Amino acid sequence: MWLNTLSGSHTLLQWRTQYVSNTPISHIFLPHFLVQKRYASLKTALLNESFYPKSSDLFDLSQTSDLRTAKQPLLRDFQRFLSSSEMHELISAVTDIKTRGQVDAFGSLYTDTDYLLPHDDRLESRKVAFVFYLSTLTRSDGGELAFFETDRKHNPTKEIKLYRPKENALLLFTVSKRSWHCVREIRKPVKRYAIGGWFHG
Amino acid sequence: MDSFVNSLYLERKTIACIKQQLISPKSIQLYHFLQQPIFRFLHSSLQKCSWHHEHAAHIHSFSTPSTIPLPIKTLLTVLDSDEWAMWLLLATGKEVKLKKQRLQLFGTGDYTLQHDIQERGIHCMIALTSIWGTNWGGYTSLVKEGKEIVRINPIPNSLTLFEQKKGMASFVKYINHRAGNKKHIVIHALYA
Repeated sequence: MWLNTLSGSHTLLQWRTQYVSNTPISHIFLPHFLVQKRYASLKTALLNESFYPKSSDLFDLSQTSDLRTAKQPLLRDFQRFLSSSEMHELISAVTDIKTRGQVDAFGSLYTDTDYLLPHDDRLESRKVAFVFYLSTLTRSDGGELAFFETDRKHNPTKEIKLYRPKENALLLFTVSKRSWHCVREIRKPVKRYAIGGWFHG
Repeated sequence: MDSFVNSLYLERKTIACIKQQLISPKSIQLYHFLQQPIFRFLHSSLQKCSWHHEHAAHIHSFSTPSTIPLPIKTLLTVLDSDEWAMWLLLATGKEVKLKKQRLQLFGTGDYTLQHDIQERGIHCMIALTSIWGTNWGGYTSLVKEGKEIVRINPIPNSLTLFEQKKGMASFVKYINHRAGNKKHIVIHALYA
């Protein structure tokens, strides 16, 4: 079993309410997402996976291959769990968006000076984006995910909400014209590990 | 022009070499391009500038001067002169006219992205920066089909020429926190 025990429909209703009412886009930050033992094993597996540096105008970071082809079996298991009907039902219950099929999932690693500039994630059939954190960072470390306010043309204007990475927390948000976000530059010699990707519809 | 530019770069032999470089690898960076006292004078005139930050998060982040100092204006006039056009013709083999020029300041957190307005032509960049670290970002990257074909590092008092053709894009790499409060100041002129 991966997930921490939910308290039933009442919790899901709370989550759904938070998700739709959060601004500037629908999103939710769920701490203590996985059962602690499973989380610890997953982190060990991720730290033993190979990461490949990637650089462009938009980013500097390192990434694993798609977790479907990960060397570590537990990472492949985690990708299968994300793609399971259990997870799709949870996503649907929280976001009111029907998702299905295989989930794209990659490990990411940001270290000193790494960053990801503003973008909206829109591509093909992506419906809900997720980031599962396997590091806890402090304010001075940087590495926060920042959501942007948008103007009438759906262009990003200013950062309006920040989420600092926290171990074993899951961030979900709806992919849309307004889902502009970035990862702020890491400013210390720390490591920010996460597994991120998209649920498709 | 000859009161600004290092006399080495006004010699025919040198210009012929520049032209050869521009065929392959398609760009050239000329060091100590301005006469040293001129460069110092221009650099110090910029210290009194006030800057206006232009930030469209999905496109670019940099600053432009509220008022251009007179010494810089004089240099911009040189870059728009017939003399300079002749030098470009000899150096590039192309008869071009100035399309636009601007003075830009990049500091920590600044950048431009590939989908900023892309302009074809001969790009001419003069770095008025006094000091720059190679691992700070701030370099200009010319890409084609997703691959970098030219990288231009901010070298103080350098002139860089490159031609941006169809299918190519360029951007200024995000400047990271290692730059601290250092600034990369550049005159960027486009000829077509």
